[in-house]
Amino acid sequence: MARSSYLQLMQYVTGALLVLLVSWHLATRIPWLRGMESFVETILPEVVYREIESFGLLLLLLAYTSLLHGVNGLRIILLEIHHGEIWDRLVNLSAVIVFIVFAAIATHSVLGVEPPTIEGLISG
Amino acid sequence: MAVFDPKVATRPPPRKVKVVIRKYNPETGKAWWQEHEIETYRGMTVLDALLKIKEEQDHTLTLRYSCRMAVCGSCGMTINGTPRLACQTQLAQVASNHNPVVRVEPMYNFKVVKDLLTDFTEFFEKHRKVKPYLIREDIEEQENPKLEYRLTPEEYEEFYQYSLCIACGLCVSACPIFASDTRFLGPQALAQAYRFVIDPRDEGYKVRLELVDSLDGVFGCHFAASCSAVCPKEVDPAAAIQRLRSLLLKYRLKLFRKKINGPVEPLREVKEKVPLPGDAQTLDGVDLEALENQPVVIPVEILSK
Amino acid sequence: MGKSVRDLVKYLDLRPGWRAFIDPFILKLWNNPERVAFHMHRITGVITAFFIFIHIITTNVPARAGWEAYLEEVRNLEAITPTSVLFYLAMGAVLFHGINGVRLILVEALAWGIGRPEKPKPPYIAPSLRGRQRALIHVTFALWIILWLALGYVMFLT
Repeated sequence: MARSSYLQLMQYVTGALLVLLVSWHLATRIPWLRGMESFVETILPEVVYREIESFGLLLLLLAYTSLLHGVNGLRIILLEIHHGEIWDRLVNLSAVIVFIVFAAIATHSVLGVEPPTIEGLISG
Repeated sequence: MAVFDPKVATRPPPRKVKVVIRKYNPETGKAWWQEHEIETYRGMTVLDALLKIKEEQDHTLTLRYSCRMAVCGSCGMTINGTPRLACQTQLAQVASNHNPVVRVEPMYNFKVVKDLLTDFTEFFEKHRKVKPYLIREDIEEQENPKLEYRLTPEEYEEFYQYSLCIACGLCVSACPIFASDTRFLGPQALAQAYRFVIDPRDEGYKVRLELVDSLDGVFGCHFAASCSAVCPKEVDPAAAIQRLRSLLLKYRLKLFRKKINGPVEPLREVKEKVPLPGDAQTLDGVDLEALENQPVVIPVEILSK
Repeated sequence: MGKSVRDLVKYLDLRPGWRAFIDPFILKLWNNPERVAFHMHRITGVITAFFIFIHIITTNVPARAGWEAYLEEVRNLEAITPTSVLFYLAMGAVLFHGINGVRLILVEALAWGIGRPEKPKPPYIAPSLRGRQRALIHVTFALWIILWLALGYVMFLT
């Protein structure tokens, strides 16, 4: 049963990493730090695209660590409130599936993004 | 323990107190609230009140108690929603003049046998599971002990607090994890596991660390610290579990090496002789030097008569 | 007898998993803000996990449907709308989980701030409830409220 302690260690390490990454992620939304007027300006397409272009890997790391931390946390709660061999297996399996699916979506959002076109911005 | 205020505890309780007891009949499977009104006296504990009810009003009331002074840990109950020892709780602490009602329930997280009596089988099984005894590899010394095991006062203080546990079960009844996860070892067993893991005379720490390394073991705890808040003996299981977990993580990362004390010769310190004051004189006929060399003999036969 | 959550509990064998959900309402413990923090950490953790899932799906919009669809989403966050209010609530959960998480890592992984083992003496308050982590709990709650209010200012008033 050595797995439990390594999983918990992962939970602490990802947690510590997330505190840093989420702080950075939230700080990029503070308008005055970037010389902007309002919060909405920081999530306009060209700003977001520039961010994905230059910090794509960091954003992916944020997505993966938060997914690891979140899915493992949900898994622990679910394993706690009900017992049984089938339930345990079901929870563990679905945790892996949920992680893979959302990690794939996150990867697609970073790698598959196109630069915003001028028509799009005008219509917006 | 819930914050203890001596000023409140030594106050006289309300003259009449309504005791509301959660009754349970295992034969019919029925549970109900039963009200009793009793006259109180200064210094009356909840256990006194319950025994008075049992004597005068309801002879079928079932509860477990023994020492009446918070040593045996038998009378754990949920009193006004707080897990407490009934013998240690003054009525004045839980009932006030504007609300002279005391609700007594069996401890949560335990199976109820009857009324306030709870089943401790699983509790002790879990306690037994963590091997709460010293494990040694030197069997010869264990079988025919000739020496003694070294334990310095500093090492002793590391686990002394956790060895005070009276196994009353209040920590388990307050534990929010135990409310959902019945496989969880519980604060009591984990604190005892830590007490023996950290004991320098113990060599079985690897077995115990493997045992508690699971979601039902030390990683089930999320530091709600309710166990420490209700403990009547200040055993502090919450801190023990956090130390155990930190130690386990270190052990898994190969950063922990336990210092194990082997058997040593008993300490035979030659004590310094304190000289008599210059003007001291012995009684007539007493030879001080002869007395000093003579071994002390206690006349047991005379004393036992 | 007044109606309380405890009266709704029909059977005395209060052990199975569902009792955990009424646990915060039926147990009264003093000198134990750790328990409040524990329940809040769990609740905010679940909210945060679902927020992460939704956030990953919504931030996938530019790659999946293009920037026009993304601008539609941004418009929802521009003023006080149901979306922006929910977003703000989720942000509160994230903030609390993060700040309290720092304390938990210190306490659980490093066994920091829970005092030293001692010989019990009156008034029998455990060292872990007097340690530095207790001060950190108060800091956690204060910092959470301040940061959440600041975030509300940034989101709604700029």
